[in-house]
Amino acid sequence: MTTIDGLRALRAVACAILAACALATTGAATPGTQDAADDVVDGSAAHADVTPAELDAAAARAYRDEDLSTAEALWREGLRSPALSSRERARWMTNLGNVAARDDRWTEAAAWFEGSLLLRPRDAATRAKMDHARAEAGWPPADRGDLASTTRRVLGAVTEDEARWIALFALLPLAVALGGEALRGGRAWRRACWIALALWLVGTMPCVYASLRPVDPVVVTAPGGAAARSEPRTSATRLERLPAGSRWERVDALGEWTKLRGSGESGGAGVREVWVPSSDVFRLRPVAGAGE
Amino acid sequence: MTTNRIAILAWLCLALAAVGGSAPAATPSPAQRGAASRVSAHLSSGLVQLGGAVRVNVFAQDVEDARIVDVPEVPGLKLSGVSSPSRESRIAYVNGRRSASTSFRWVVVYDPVEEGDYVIPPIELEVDGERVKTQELSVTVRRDMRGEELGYIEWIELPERVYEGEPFRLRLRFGWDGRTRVNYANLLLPWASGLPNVIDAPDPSRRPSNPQELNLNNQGRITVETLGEQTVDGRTLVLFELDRRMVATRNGAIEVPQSYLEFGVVEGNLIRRRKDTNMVGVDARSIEVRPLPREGQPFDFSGAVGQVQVAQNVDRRSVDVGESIKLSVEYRGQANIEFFTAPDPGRLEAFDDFRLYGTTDDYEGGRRRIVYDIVPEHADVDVIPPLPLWIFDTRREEYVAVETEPIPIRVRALEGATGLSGETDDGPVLDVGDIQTEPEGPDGPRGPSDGALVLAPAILGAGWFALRAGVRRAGDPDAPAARARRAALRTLRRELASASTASAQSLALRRFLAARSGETPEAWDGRPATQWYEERARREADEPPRAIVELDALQRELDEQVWAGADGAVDRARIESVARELVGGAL
Repeated sequence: MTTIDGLRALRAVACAILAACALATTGAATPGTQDAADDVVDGSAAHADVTPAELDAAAARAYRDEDLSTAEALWREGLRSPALSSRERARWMTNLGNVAARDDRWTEAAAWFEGSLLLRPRDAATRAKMDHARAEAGWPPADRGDLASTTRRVLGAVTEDEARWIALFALLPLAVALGGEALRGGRAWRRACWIALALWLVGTMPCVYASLRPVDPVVVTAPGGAAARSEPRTSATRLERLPAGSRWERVDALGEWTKLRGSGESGGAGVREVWVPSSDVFRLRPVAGAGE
Repeated sequence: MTTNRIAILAWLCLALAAVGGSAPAATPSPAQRGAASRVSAHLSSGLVQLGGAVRVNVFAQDVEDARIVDVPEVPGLKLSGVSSPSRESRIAYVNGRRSASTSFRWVVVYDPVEEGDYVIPPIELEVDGERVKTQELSVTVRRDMRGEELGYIEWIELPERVYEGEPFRLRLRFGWDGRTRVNYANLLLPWASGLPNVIDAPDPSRRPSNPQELNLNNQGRITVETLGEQTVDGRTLVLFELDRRMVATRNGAIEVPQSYLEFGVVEGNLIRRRKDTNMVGVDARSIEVRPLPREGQPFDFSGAVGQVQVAQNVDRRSVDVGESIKLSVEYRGQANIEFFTAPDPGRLEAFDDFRLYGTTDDYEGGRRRIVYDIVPEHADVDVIPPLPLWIFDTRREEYVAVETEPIPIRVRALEGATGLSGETDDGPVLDVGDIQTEPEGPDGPRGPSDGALVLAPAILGAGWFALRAGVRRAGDPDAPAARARRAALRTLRRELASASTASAQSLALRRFLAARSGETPEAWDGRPATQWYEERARREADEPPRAIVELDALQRELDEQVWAGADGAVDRARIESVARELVGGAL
């Protein structure tokens, strides 16, 4: 009798979890959704009669013919297409990085590669390109080899969608362990519960890390760094010089000025908000007009 | 007896003295050493006539805040006063970099009470929150200052002005009348341990050819050059010369305090000592240190000040593309050769056709030798361009570029390659690589929403709690009886595997039934299953389930075998089948 009652209760819990999964797949959009919506608005009218594949082929041909400006224009135009998947968008951004590198614009190339890695973080070729571009740009390496850099790299090795699925699926061992503990009790099941709980917490870390990352990240691409000011005008107090290659969050824009928030690479001075000329920074998210 | 006590006391004193002498001095921490290196004390004169004043200049340089904590008392010297601090801030640009610093200065004045040789203990300061001490100072107080007619001391070519960063020499020539009997000479040089805003820059190319050690400031030794007997102003003198090379680190004035030579005869032993000496001195001097002009300072100014000569050579002039050439550049001259920043070909447009792989930098014998490991990138490179070093020429009083001579070279192209970028024989060459032309697939499923990520663990936790509570309501599933009930079928199979008689099989079956029903095995001894079903299940009206009926039959067969037969084992599979059916619902 006891076992039958327990199985009924377990069945109810499983149904609830399945319901949560179903809700998950139809739930609220992740930040990329808004970007895609922006793309639709900006790009729907641009090349309505040309497919992204055709644009890509034309850009590749121009690149092969060493017509870098045409290749860049086509790939930039293609990035506006709402039909592009994130992975395809990342590939185009990598190719735009290649164009910038061939044109000796290494800071811009490094920024394109970094942006591409946000969408396709495990692409080894793009990571190698980014390391090379950062070295050529005179920026410090993205992965310094210390514990903090390694942790960031591990946690950032998945996209935000993947991180969310990992956090959800990491609940399965915990569900099994909790079910066993409820039905059977005993020290072994309790221990299994603790282990499964630890696994779930580990599984949520990429998701937590992804949620803490800037929604609209930018990287400082001005060779000598960006002069940060308290207000969006050249006569405002100059607070500091943001080092080239450092990553910040874009929180606002006004004319030719962009408002940034962050603590820089070291984080020594704490989180602050500053204004810099928009031409000194590069938006890493693949929204329409990125990097322009 | 008394002699023995004195001997023991003497040994004890010697032992204590030995321990005290051999005990290591307290070693300051690196931070203390850093702060201590920024404070110093200097006497305005190492020799003071009775009635005059002993002035100690205390400096704290490149600090944010400083104050004097304690000024020691010296028997024989009466502390007259301590001035309020004078503060000086300075901003300098060297190599295009801005540096700012603040310095403090105090003057501590003592009035000598009686003549003698005195040691002023360290003065304690608090610098940027740290307690640090200056060095000890030695000063001599004399009632009479005889010796002008017998001795000689003079500055040789002491510059009146120098530029910031320019090296200069302090040459002090001194001696005494050749006819005078002298077995003791002591230089009283308050500046010997250093001067404010000046760093010692010994010239390794200049070593005394005829060195002589003399006393310094009553407590140390110093090596000087012996010049021998020479005639000066009609007098035949035994002469010596002290030559120190220094570099001014900041503009302002360098105050070189009075210097004295004490010479004469000292006789006696350690206990009784008779000193008959004379004093001769030279006045304090001031050297003006001028700042480097800001106007016209090139961006690549190296920090070199003075006159610099350059020579260059290469280890080979005919190479293949990608082969290394060692360009050796040697700088020498009357300048701060050891301190300037060497030019970097990697930042010069003229060297765009070369790749710089490394640099070695040595300073030896007054010469700076820098070896650049450069590699021509193309076959059409035919010359190593001039390498400029921007200096401030103190004679011309302007910034000038000291350039190496262009060196013609021959670079042979590698077969099938046009330059370094095409070179693969020596290993992989770093490049950004090709574009990515293979289309990527569609994105994976969109991740679960925030609500789902929060809801799922909440549901799981609530479900676990409900399930646990429901299960526990019927008893603890981890209790021994519950565990035995769950393991009953497994235990039965194990016991049947080893049972070879009907009595053993019957015992195993009773244990199984006891574990499943929560009773003892004895309760099932001789009790028909149908009777148990009717009693416990209280279902008299219903027919017993098939499993109970089969169990009843099995029990009878086992009893027959045990009591009426040869105790032969019944079919094991049949017992297991009945047990499985019982577990399935009836029991």
